Amino acid sequence: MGRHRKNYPLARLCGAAGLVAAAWPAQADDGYTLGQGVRMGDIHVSGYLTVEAEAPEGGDAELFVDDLAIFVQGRFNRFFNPFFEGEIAGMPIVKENHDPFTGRTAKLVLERLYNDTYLKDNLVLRLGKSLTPVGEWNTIHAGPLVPNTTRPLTTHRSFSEFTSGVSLIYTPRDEAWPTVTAYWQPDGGLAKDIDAIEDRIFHNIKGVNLSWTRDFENTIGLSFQTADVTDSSESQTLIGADAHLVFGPFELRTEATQTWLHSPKAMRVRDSEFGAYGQVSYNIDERWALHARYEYFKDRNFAAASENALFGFSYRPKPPVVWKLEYVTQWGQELDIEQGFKASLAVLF
Amino acid sequence: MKRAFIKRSRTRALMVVMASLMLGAKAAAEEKILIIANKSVPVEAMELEELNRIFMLKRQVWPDGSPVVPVNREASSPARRQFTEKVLGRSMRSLATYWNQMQFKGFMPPVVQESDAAMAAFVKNVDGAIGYVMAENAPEGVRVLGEIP
Repeated sequence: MGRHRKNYPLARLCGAAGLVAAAWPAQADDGYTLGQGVRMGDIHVSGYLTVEAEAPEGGDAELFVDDLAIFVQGRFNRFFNPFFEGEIAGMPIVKENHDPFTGRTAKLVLERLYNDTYLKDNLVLRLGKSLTPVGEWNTIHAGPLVPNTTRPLTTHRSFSEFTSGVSLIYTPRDEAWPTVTAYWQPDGGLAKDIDAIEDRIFHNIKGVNLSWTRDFENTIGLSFQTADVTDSSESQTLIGADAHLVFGPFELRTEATQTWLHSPKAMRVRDSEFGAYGQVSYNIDERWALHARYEYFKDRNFAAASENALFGFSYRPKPPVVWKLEYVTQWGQELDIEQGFKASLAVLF
Repeated sequence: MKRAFIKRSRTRALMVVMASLMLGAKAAAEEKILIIANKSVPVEAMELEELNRIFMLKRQVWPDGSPVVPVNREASSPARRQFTEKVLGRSMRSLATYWNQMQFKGFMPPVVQESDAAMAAFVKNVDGAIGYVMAENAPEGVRVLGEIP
């Protein structure tokens, strides 16, 4: 494998993704508008597609479908408002040194399945599997909605991304007060979380999230959660804070979590875990943005901390479509993030 | 000399006519908007702040528990532009981004109808629907909840 071969895969893969995007119509003849889904009476169907290209240093370049997700939601009455999200994750397309459509195995995933009951116009009872409200990134983690292809470790590594149980969501009329979400998962998850890290499957999850929103753009959140680690005598307590603030063309995103382990296994390196990231985006105009991020993560299982930094840009020709290209470098303990280039095309449909 | 005066007079007259047309066009473009709702909606009038909460998907049910169904015009329509400026107070693009996020969080974004007639028909026929039309196209068979100057 020559060096030149190593330099070109990403460009070839991006070219292929470009062809896919170019073929996607912005507005169909029947009035369908990209990003708005399809409404059939009380039912709304929509979804998103994320195609990723990555060229890790020392690894094989690859183009794959990270997510093809479908949402189906219904609004029937005060009591019956179901929401379903299913997705196919990790579909291979092309991978260096592999035959086409090999190199990873696609998985069918039940991401969310719940029903909302409106106890009052600003008080919702949610039953089922939903996204855990720890930080903004976890609650809007779809490719078309987040600024980068590479997800910060802090936004998912210390807690269960999903909660199967009961939630109570209170949205106050006055912006000075936070939206409050209290949730409880008494047992295991409704469906297996394919991205869950081994020894981090949780049950008996209880938590609360407070989220202040100002002018619908600026948010500040606080999270508290306790959980038992499944198949273990361990439990953990997490606190977190996150913010997304807009200052003219600049956007600041940040999140930090601190987790304490109780009755830790003897083999644990430490009985706590800490992560924090800070990201600055500069919106050149409505379409182009530059991004820079730094993250520090001290995992419960490793002595050395993991650090990573990201530089990249995004191009959003219209709100439901975004192209991203970034370079990620990492040092210290290697966790989920690989050093190298990543690119993606994400479309909300 | 006289010829020059006549030429100037014509120019002035033309400018006056053009200015009138421009002012008229501006007045027409900023015509009043009527807030309309399905007759099932158990509300008689609507404050702008409450209308904002509905279109920002912060209010999901009417006082009787039936679902609120906000209805918007297509992005290129003057009515949508006026409504966005006067009620929502944000750029169309940032609103689209916001509604995309809310859709992912499980909230249905406003339904889009592509003419005043289509808007009126949808609001008239769908329980819980609330939308807006230009005042000159005031429809029948709906409840008018207010007027935006």
